[in-house]
Amino acid sequence: MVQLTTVLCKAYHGGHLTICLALSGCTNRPFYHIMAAHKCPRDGRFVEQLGSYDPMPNSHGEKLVALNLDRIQHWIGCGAHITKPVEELLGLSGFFPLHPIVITNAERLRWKQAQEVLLAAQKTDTEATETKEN
Amino acid sequence: MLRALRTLGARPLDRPPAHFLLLARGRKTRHDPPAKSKIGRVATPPAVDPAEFFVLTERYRQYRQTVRALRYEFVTEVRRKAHEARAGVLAERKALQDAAEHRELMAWNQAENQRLHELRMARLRQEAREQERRQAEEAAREAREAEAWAQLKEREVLQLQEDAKNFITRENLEARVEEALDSPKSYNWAITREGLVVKPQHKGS
Repeated sequence: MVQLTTVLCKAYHGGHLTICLALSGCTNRPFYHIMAAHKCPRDGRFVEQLGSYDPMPNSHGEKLVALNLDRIQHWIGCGAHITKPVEELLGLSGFFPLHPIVITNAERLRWKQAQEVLLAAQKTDTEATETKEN
Repeated sequence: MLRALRTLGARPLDRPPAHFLLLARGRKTRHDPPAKSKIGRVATPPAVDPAEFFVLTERYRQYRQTVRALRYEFVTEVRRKAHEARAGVLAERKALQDAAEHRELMAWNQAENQRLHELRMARLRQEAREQERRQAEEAAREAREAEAWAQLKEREVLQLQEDAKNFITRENLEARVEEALDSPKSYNWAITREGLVVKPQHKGS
């Protein structure tokens, strides 16, 4: 798997405005705000807050994401760039098409789980044949 | 760092387990020299699966195409909104309404100014009349006072003329002295502090 991010991300962050995640919260408890900001520090000056993302699942096992789609559309119309995590969130929400990396990671996970199931099945088959021989 | 942590679950099985790397992560800064055990180490990137690579590039191409189209749509939407806000039908109607409202307000202001002007003129006329009345009264009062003063002075002059007839002059000095000496009136009395008159009763002079 070639690292494509460095090649592809050169085209990002060339414009004036970026829609990115700003980290807040405390130790062992991250919380992200989805911001429209210029080239400022991660938690510094921003133009507008467009939503939030809570990476820790809540009591129902959900990770909550809030997106102000109207304003996001406006800022993209004004020429804002979007970072990869925000693109992935927008893809999962349905506003954008699903990101290729999300699909690829899901495929790899499924392949790995299938391999594990296959290995477990093979191991039980070998154990069954060994007991039969004995 | 969290982005790298997310991709840990997707790494292939031949890489070392994740928790060993987690324990060592962040121990060295960028200025620390690499360890002696890493002298001949050549970092080899993970192997590329050609089929997956082809599928991934194809997916990226389609994704970028779709995102470009969406971005173009959003840009045209924003420009259309800006144009409509500047020179659209609603903006023109609003401009006309604003002009009409402005004219109405100016007319109302004019009417108010006229009304207040009328009131002010009436008040000024009333004040002028009051002033004239007060001045007339003042004049009348002063005239009366002057007349009273003149009459008083006239009376005093007449009184003095009357009294002057009884004055003692050089001509009737002798006659008056004789008359005073001959009169029975006696000035030989005293008065106490309480106001009692004390007359001599044939005791001394």
